[in-house]
Parts: sequence; C-alpha cells; structure tokens
Amino acid sequence: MTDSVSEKQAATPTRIPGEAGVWLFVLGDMILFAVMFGIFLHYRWLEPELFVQSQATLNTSYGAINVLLLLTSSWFVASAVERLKKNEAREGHQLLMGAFACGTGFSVIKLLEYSEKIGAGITVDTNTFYLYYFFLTGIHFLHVVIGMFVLGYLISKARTFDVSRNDVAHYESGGIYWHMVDLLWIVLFPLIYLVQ
Amino acid sequence: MTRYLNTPITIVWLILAALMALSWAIGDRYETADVDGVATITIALMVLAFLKVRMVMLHFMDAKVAPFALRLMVELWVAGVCLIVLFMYFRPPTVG
Repeated sequence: MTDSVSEKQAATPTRIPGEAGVWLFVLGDMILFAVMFGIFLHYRWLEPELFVQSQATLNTSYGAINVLLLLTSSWFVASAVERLKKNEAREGHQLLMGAFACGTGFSVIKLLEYSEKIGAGITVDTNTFYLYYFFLTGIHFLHVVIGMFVLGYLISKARTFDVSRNDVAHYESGGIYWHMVDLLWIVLFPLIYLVQ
Repeated sequence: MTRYLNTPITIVWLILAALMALSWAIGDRYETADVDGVATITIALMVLAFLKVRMVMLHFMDAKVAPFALRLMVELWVAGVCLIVLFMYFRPPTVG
C-alpha cells in the first residue's frame, strides 16, 4: 500500500505553475496583506466596541456578492488557461472576457459602496474602523484594477494564441495574480464585514 | 457547454460558492449567539475562509502540482495567517 502511494507520488511530475517570478511577487504581496490584517486586528483589539458598531453600518450583501463575482472570475480565468493549453484560442478568449466582466461587476459594486458611505458623510477621518476599512478595501481595489489591466492585455493576445508559438505560462502567471486578488477578498470579507 | 461544467475547476467553484453561502449564513447567527456562540462563529468563519483560500491556491493557482518548497510556502501562509488572525481575535482585552 505504502509502496503504491509513493510510486504514485513519484509518478506525478511537479512543476512551477506559471513563472517563478510571479510567485515571488504574489507570496510577497500576500505577506504584506497578512501584516495589514494584523494591523487591522490590533486596532480592533484596542477599540472592539467601536469596530463592531461601525461594522454594523456596512452592507454585507455588497461584500458577499463581490466574493461570488471574484470566485466566478477565478473560474473563468482557470477555465481559460485550460482551454489555451488545448490550443482552443477562441474559447480561451471568451472565458477571459467573462473574467473581465466579473471584475467590472466587482468594481461597480465597490464604487457604489464607497459612494454610499461618502454620501452618508463617512470618510477615512470618521474613526479608526473606517480608516482601515477604506485603507484595506482601497489597496485591494487597486489590485483589482491592476488585475483588470492584466486581463485586458491577455484578452488582446488570446484571440491569436497558438500553443506552438506562444507561451501559456504568461496566461498562467496572469491567472495566478488574479486568483490572489480573489483569495485576499475571501479573507477581507469575514475580517471586515462579518466577524463581530 | 457540458465540457465547461463537467470539469474539476467547476466542481471546486461549486464547493467554494457553497462554502461562501455557508459563511454568510453563519455570520447571521451572531445576533442570537451568547459569548461562547460568538467565539464559535468567529472560529468557524475564519477557518472556512482559510479553507477556501487553500482551495483557490491548490486548484485555481495549481499549487497542487508545485514543487515541495513552493507548496510548503503556500501551506505555511494559509495555516500561519489563520492562526495569527484567530490569536488576535481572542487576545485578552486591554486592562485599564
């Protein structure tokens, strides 16, 4: 039994998905976000009641819909990479457009959320909770915008993709960055919107 | 269409979406929870979140096929940050 398991593991080739450089960037960025989670939780620890009261004014539905949009965009990107590996450029191109549409949906909801807060007189100066709410979600939103430029670039190239001439690793790398944007929101959603 | 739906990526997406719905439903329980209940909900929400993160990293980012060193860094980030976050939620409050 043990032999067959180790044989199976030995038979499964390992590889670095995408390019090594993108992992260096993504893991570095994720460590920076982990530090920011810690800073948010430290100030929450100092003023727990203020944080719970302020959090109650957030629209949880916006945060939840945005989790689903980013999860779905990740599905589109991962499916696009699968199609491109099979040299199906047209499908890959269409799937990347689906991811871009989800990213646009996320952005619209985020801007709507910000405009509602600012319209209600809530800004970074209101209190410590909102300072970190705008800071954390703002830095994440910046990553979404950068990710959409990456997706836009990949969409422009995907239509003429040919596996014999082009390197699918570029698409995998772009995908890995986009999935990072997704997973950071998966943590930020309970951290900022849900946990009381 | 079925070629898109009947794939491991789609199954992972379905599980992630279901876990997301579960998190949202658990989050609603705060209003009726006592002190122990609040702690349980917080732990459940964060463990579920990092479970989802791990699934995204292994199956969407394809870290499941990564060499040992990269896979280890991914697993350490997920487990380490989850533990730090939970520790910070349950630190005793400041005195005075």
